[in-house]
Amino acid sequence: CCPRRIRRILDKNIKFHRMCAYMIVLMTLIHYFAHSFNVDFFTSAYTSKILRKRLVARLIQIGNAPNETYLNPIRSNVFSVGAVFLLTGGWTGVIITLSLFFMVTSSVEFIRRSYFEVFWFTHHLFIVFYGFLVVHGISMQVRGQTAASLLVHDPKRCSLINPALWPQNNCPTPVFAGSAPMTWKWVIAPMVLYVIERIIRLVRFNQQVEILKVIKHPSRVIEIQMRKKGFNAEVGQYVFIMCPQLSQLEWHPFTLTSAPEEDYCSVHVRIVGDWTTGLSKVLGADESGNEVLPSWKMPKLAIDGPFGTASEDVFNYPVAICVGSGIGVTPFASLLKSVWYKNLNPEHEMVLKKVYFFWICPETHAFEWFGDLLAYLERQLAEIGRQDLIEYHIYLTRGWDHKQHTYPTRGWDHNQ
Amino acid sequence: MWANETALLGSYVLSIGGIIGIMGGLLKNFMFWLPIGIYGLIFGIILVILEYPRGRKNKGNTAERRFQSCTATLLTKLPFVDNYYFRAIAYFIVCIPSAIIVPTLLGSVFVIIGSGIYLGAACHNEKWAPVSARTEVRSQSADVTQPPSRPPPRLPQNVNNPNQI
Repeated sequence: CCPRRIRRILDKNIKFHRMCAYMIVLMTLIHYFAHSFNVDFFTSAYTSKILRKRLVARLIQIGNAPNETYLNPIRSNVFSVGAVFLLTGGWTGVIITLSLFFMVTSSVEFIRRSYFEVFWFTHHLFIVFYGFLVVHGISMQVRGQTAASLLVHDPKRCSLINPALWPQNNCPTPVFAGSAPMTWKWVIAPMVLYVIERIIRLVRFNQQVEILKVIKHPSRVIEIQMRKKGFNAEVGQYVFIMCPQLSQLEWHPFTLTSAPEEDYCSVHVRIVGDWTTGLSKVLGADESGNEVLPSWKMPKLAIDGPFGTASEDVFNYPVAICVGSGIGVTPFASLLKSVWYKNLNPEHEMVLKKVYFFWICPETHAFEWFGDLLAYLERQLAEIGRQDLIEYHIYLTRGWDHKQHTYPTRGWDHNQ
Repeated sequence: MWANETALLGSYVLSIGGIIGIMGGLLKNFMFWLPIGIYGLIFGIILVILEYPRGRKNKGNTAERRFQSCTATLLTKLPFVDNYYFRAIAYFIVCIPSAIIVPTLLGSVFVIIGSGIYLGAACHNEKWAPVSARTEVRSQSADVTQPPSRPPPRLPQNVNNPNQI
């Protein structure tokens, strides 16, 4: 729908999120330190030293009589730190700043990489943050003279006159009002969008996902073939998968490895951590389970997606250069399969004429399933005489370990 | 680990609050701020020095902060710093005086929260240990600085079609 240059900006969404967060932190600090002066001005107005100034003494009294509006939100002599909590802006600000503090400290890369759950669950404090941000100004405690009052009581002239003599000098009692909270106007649109997205996720959670096949691949990889009504994906898109049996709160992203032309969708899951190990166990694919689970014993899965990545545009151009490293090669499984399917259809002349495929990984062990797929595609393309459609360049970067370096001298035995 | 992050950010905010306190304390109205501002700045800087080196994770490699080795050697020489109970109680006591004026209140609340998390960590028997330098993995084979002089082995069925892996 949108031009490519604008769509590319969406690729940097996390960077934008971080820039917003840095700006929020900076502005929070400035806001806090500015208001700390403000609070002390409010509370120190009641100290005897300041009360000697007649103007200040009169101004803080305004509001005590009925029918008067106040200027100073602090109405009696309190300690300044206590005043922070008396003001509505104060204690809501404390809650907001504390939740921001927890969110910021747990979002540093070190915590995200090593203690992801700490990051994930504290980051949900943003609900508290935004909730209290919207009501932060609800008591309208930043006050000034109303426009109507400014017409009848000129502060420049009347501040020089003794306040006790104001009635005689054409200075009626000034009327003060606070400005209404305005933050909600800025944040309401993103909040509504977020709520809509969570509702969509909830709806998708309730849609049924049928597990067709679970295939065990070498090197602890399982392939799950599923089907869901109304599910359509482009090449290389990814989905979030949730298994309520394992955890109600964890949605994990996986790239789809099936082509859009196939009638099922598949993901390849590498068993690395506790969620994936639990997943392989409930699917009957761990070491102990060698029997096929009947479909009524299969766990319920929920799919949220598909979400897009950069690989969707590849069919619009005659030459594509695809570079994948490590796990990043999974979108290309879907891409190459789709290229193959499109080739089978002779009526539709593909715009894409040549794919250069670069694959860089430490060693092929973790991606043997992909190597098998490549070999299969190569054979199929050779059969129809189109083997120059895809050109592969594969780089293994881990180098030789201390066992492999003897292979050339000993003669490499495939079975060793 | 998380306690370290919270206490470090808290000590940054405490130092900035101390600077604000000093700047406000130079004004006539807020002279009360000046001693607390100086206190906040000094202890903020001490806390930054104490918190900046990241301790070693229990398993796996630990990512060090930049230039942390300068202060990490200092920390290994100080007596009580690796005990998290000490850190929790000491930070709590240090932050109480700086909580009485508003600019340093924020930083001291943050450091007190950090000390609370340290107390939880201490109950789980965690300690601060210096990050050891990453050990080099030495290959037992022959000298690997030379590129291989032979091409990788090619099985007979691979020779015909170079595109197959």
